[in-house]
Amino acid sequence: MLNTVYRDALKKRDEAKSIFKGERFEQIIKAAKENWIDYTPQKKDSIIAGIDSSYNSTKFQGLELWVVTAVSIKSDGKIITEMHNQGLGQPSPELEIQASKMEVDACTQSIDKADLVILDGSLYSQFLTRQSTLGSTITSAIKKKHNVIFISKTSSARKQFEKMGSVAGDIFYYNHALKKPGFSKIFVDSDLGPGKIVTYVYARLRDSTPLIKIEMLGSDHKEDEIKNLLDRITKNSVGGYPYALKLAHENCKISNSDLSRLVSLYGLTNEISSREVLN
Amino acid sequence: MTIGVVIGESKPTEVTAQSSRPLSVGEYVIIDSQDGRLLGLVERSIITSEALTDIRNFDEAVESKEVAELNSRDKNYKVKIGILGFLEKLQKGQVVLPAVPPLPGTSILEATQKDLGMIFGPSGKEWIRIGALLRNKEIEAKVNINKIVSRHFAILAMTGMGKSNLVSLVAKDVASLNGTLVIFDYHNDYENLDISKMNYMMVKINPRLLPADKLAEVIELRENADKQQRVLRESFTDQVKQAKDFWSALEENVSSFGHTTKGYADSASRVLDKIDDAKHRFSDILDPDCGDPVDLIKEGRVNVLNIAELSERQANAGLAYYLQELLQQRKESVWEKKGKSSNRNNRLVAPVFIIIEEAHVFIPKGEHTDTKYWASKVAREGRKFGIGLGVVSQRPRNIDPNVLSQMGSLAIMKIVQDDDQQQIASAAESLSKDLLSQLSSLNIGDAILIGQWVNLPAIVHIDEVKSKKTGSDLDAVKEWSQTDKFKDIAKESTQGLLQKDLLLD
Repeated sequence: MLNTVYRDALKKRDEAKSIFKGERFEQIIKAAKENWIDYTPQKKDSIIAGIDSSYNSTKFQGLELWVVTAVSIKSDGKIITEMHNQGLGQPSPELEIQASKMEVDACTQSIDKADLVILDGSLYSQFLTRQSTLGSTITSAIKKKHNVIFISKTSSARKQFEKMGSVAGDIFYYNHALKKPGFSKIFVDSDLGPGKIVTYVYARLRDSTPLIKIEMLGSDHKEDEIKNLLDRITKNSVGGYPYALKLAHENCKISNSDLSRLVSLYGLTNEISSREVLN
Repeated sequence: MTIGVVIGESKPTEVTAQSSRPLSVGEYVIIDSQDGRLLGLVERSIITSEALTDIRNFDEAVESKEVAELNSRDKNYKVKIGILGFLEKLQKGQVVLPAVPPLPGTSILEATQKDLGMIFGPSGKEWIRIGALLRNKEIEAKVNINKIVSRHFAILAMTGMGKSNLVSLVAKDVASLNGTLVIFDYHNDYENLDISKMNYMMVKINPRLLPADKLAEVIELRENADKQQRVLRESFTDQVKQAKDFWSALEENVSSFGHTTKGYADSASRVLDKIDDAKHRFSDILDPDCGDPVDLIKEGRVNVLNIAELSERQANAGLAYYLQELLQQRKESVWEKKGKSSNRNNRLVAPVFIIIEEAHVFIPKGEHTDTKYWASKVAREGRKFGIGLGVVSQRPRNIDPNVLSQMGSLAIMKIVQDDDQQQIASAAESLSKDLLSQLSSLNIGDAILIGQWVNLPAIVHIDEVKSKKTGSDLDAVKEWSQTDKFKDIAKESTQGLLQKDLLLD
């Protein structure tokens, strides 16, 4: 890299540090603390299904070898459903949309087989996808038993402290404000319009574990419901994260080496060099 | 029953497998390969848990433990299996390895009694039961006695791991086969051995039969006392050897040499002191009237020769003498059978097996002893003349490597010291690195058997010789408590004898 980039980085160091300190930062931290409800979850038995999807592809000479997988798995390792799609050529619809659709399908198949269905990621991404039918499918699936939630480890949403001049996502300030278990006050977001109201909280299951963001459909959610939810998630969680989701991720992920094996199975090894696969 | 599947890279000598349950190191399995059923030995066993990998702190470990218990797919049982050969060929005593490695995906099956029985417990009079396979307990482990008599064997283990138990077991079996066994018992371990055909005796040395330098060793003349050595050498004449009163004749000659040879009076006087000392201290051992002590060894018996009362140098001289004589007698016996000799007085007409305990003392590495000389001669020539050698030691690193490497069969029990393990590894080619690493984890009575007395290397648990009351550690606490009880009894009885009125004053 150019040396000038490093010199510039040194100059901007103080500016970058202002994100972590200063009056504005302290004000937001104070607000985050006031917004926090201390609660130590009690372990409650529940059958939890975790759902995740993955996709990967390698392009060569105008072609693309692609794979999409999704899985719904319970905390005891039993798979409720697994699905996949693969092809050579231009994926249609796009891989991201295919993955979202598989997640929704897996969710539909899981709601009657688990007390709680957790999808990895955000409800927003389901609503904001370009395939409009997905939004309605997931909405009706959720409404069937009201046992579907979304959990993500990261979030760039900055709706709660934006007016106070926040630079980072809301999750950043909650992370810095407190290390105790509990959750942020319920935030209802109706920006996507009626029928697509998203309620969410930031929560910490155990002392000093990373925050997670929990999203639910609809506006009619109370603190007691959140507490009950945290109790159930905590029972089978590791490091503050639901184990079913970890299992789902481990089961469906498509690594580059997996893709290399597929290239070999398709008999394309001579067409694509290993370097291209890894790229 | 399928218990695993071959995965990853496969070789003609070893495969890796994913198993459905944890397999024990030392367990035998069948690899159902494309070219026929192969026998495999589990050499390494690894268990991993997906949930309990990459744990960052204690809390996470506890949480992961809980979820791991729930998840039936959490555990990963991986094993490395060494391929021993085609099962069918092994059952016929032949080792044939596959030319093509088993294909990944090949099933791993549980080995049954039918599969292993013929290999580890063959029928035949020469095969004697020694125990059972450690990991396949229903399978008898037998050893070939013919092979240990013709090709020798060694028992190597730390103290208290069952060496003398194994010697006792071999002794019982040899006795049951009417064999002749000679045990040089350095710690008086075998006196109470419950064998009907036992011939127990104190080792005797007939000074008349020794050369002068050996007599000097036996009466403990210092090696560098040249003048004293000369006095004895000059005085130990044929006339003395044949004298009716051996000691008096010797003393007379020594005294006379001192008087007649200038400058040797003091040395002769010291030699006389040494002779007098030896006469009194070793009267049970040094017996000029015992004839040839080797004649006391009885054929078809377990002859336990107690050498516990002998000093190291005396024991060395004694052992060397016995080894030399036994080898000679066997040679003459064989020559006589072949018509090359006409010595009809030879008594050892059948093969003899000799066991030397504390072999590192008598057959040491890096120094010469007469026992070492004769032991290595027996090890080299014994096969031709039907004389087998068994060495027993807890310090293999101190045994002469040339002798150890000629031991065709080994029973290796728990050995912790790295030096000892390396010495064993260099002496035993068939001991793989993975088997070697098992040595420190063996328990009392467990042994790795390798060499010619077994069809295949085997990890076994040796049968305990129930009637044997020897070799075990003493129960000091129990004995002390009994001493204390006796003290109370003594006190009470003494008190009763005292007259009270005497004590008042």
